[in-house]
Amino acid sequence: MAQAVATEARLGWRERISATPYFLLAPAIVALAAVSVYPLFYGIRASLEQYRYGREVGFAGLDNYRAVYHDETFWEALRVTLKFVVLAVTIETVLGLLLALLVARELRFAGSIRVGLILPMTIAPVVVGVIWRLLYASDIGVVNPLFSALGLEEPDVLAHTTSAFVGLVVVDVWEWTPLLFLILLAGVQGLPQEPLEAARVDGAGTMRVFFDHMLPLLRPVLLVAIVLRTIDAIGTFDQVFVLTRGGPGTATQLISIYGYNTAFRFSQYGQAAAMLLSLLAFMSILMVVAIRLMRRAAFGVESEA
Amino acid sequence: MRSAAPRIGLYSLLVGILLLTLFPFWWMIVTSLKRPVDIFAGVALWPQETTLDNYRVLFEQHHFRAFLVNSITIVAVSVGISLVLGTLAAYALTRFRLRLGLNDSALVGSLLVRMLPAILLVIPLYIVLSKYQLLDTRLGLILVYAGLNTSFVVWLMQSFLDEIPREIEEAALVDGDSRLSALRRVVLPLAAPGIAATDLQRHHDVQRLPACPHAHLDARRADRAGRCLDADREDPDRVGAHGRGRRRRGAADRDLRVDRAAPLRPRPHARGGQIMARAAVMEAPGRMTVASFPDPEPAPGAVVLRMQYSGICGTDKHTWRGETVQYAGTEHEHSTPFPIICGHENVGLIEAIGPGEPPVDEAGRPLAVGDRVVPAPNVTCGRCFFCVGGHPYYLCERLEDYGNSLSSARAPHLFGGWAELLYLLPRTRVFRVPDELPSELAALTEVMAVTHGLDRAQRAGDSVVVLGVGPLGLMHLAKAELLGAGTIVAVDVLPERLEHAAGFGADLLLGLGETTPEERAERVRAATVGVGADVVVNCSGRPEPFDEALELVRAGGTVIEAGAFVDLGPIPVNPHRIVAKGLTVLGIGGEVLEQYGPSLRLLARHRNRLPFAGAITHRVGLTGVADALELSQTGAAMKVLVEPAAS
Repeated sequence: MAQAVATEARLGWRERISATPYFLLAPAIVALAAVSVYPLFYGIRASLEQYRYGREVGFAGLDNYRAVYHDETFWEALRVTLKFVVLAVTIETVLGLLLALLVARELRFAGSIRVGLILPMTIAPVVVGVIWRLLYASDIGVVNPLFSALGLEEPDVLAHTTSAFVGLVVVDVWEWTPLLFLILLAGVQGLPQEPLEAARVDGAGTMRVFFDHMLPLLRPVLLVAIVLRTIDAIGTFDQVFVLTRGGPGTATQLISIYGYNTAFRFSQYGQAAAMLLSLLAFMSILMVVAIRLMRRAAFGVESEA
Repeated sequence: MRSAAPRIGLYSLLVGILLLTLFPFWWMIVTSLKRPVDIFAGVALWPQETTLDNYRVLFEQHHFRAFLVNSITIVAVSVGISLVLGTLAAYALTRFRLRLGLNDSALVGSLLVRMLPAILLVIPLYIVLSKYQLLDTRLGLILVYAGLNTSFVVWLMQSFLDEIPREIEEAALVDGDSRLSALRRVVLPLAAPGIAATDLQRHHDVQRLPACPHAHLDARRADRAGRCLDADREDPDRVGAHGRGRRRRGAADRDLRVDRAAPLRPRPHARGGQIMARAAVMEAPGRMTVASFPDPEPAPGAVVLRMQYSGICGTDKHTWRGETVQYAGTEHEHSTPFPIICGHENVGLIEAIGPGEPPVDEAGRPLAVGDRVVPAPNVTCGRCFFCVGGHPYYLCERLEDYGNSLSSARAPHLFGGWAELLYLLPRTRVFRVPDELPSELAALTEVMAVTHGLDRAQRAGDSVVVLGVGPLGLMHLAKAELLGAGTIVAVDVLPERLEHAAGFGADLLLGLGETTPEERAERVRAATVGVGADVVVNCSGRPEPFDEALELVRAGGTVIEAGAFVDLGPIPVNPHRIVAKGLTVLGIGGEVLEQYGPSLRLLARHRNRLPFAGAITHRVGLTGVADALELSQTGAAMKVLVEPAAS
């Protein structure tokens, strides 16, 4: 009893000097706000301004947004982005899951194998771009000789629209399958063994066990992985910037690249801000939906368990 | 169930996957250990002859150490700051119950910051940084990184601190060691240069080190070269293709994009004819081809320049159209000899210097390999009346002129800037580019150096009319603005160009299509207290506007004729008007040597103040030159740069 009173007294003392934590917190909040909230509001303001050669020349109202939505290239960039994200994330998820299943068992050198497999995601995206530029280069690369060795036409990957797009998807898959693998490996290793064993005992084949029992159990972690990766993939920039800069033509011009070009090549800061804020709105909606889905999935599993 | 065969199958599958995953790394490492000749010799999974030369060159010639120091400084300081801020915040969040649900919202907020794609923040950050003069500085980068990383630190430290029960908080100090190692694991991922790196990493020193190479594969080999690479690639782009979204997707632009994606071209190391340098050769008016020439060995006093950028000048457009008579009526009147490698607005890195005493820069400092320089396009004899008398150097009686008078038929052939290498004859004046000036802007130096007419004619507060606002006109606008003009008027037939002129501060824009000469005179008078302009500059490259210049200028004013570099024939002029109005007429036959240093410094200082970068609308590789010449005669293009290393 006395102790409880003492505790309360101590807490009360803490409450009284509770300015301390706010002082501790303030610098971080200021720093975070300085690089996120402030730029964001600045961006919103910029999206309402008219720019000419990087100079504000007046209030534009919603003109920038109108210009963006009437810009065929914006929609094309959005289509390219969606195509890229859907394709890359799907492939990464499937491959990551397969790899996770393959590695989630007792293996010799399990540690080294895992390290080797996740190496691509540990290096800076810019460097990933450089590495693949070396591989794709038509005169000193590996891809062209490989194709001609197989008796196929040399693809000159980055020089043609379709192959450049595919080439970028390949790079993304190479770089980010490891992330999916890593998350899903944790998921697979954390699966309760009893229901799976029970199903096997009941005579279910490997496929049946996987699709009917394993996959539902993996659903929450799969969703988390896919959502994280999708959000990340929408913002893909560095590798594309190094490899194609959105070309040839506009074949690989992701929305991030187009936003960058609009701002820094065409000096249309207002339009770029409008474009990227629209993208942010779109992503926020996506995030909200995803979080809803995740919650539902998580509860679903809980009720099953 | 655990028989050997499936196990072997499993392991070989895993080995196969591992090989696929790791091969790109292997290829990068192997390439870094190959000699340049071997790199081209075909696919070899093992270096034919292992060499560490590339690394040596990286450190010795490419200022790699400076990049490394930059990276380490920026990472260390920004991570240090964010660790302190983040840890304090995390401590507050885990140890105290805060009002307003701050505990949760602060955490969620910091996570959200982490999830925002950096490209969303880059544009506002760029604008903000430029506002506080923090672009191109380490400090700016450090602040941005420190802020962004703080979210990560808060989030991680919070979970670390959460694990430490309060009761044993003191005991946790003993635990310090393992926390530290955890911290190390936090710090490392922070070091990864993210997208903000690509965009904001323009810090002074990266910029400054000219060796950061477009064409130099060597520098790209080691990991961290990515930093160098993206700084180098990033800046060109900021000043790169301009012009508005919808207009720029022409055929030439498509070419340009393909060029960008084209393979890296390594720097030839071997000398003496073994390795070839490519050049865009104009064989005749309207006929362009890409040819290779032997890598030249510089004679004593000569310099070989590895070209970064070469501008396409109005003169080149005339040459392309077959209008080739220059300096008519002077000692060195000539008609452009074909075949010719054009390109006289050049910037590049010194690749080799002839034996003996090295040439010097503007300040008399000896030049060295790796220096980033702008060469003067004219070479004088130093012995004629005009040279000896200190007259503008283009008056030299035996003038040689890169890209204009020197045919590529003559050895060592590489006498123009639209080539991977440029051979600079002895006596060529060479100027160091200020560290903070990006190379593509340095390509504007020659044009800027032509504006010396304004230095003579204009005083602060003067009204200046520029007729024809192509690149030369724009530089005149810039000079007029920076010299403190009171009123600036731009006249052109192309609305796109007038829009550029507005960016350079022109107060009044007059379209030739929308106004009659009388209306223009009226508008100019209205803008100049009713008397006409103090200075009128004809930059149109056409003779006709000269007459209009005489009309627009006020009595006692100055008309500068700077555009008629190529003889396009006479127009009728009434000399009485010159007399009656007491006019001064300045003929500007090109840039003067004294203007190079000032022009470079002016461009460097005001590079962010005036939209110089915007004046560069396109960049093309050597194969795109012909299209670019056509394009540069339309409204879609202003200054077009040839980037010989690009394709």
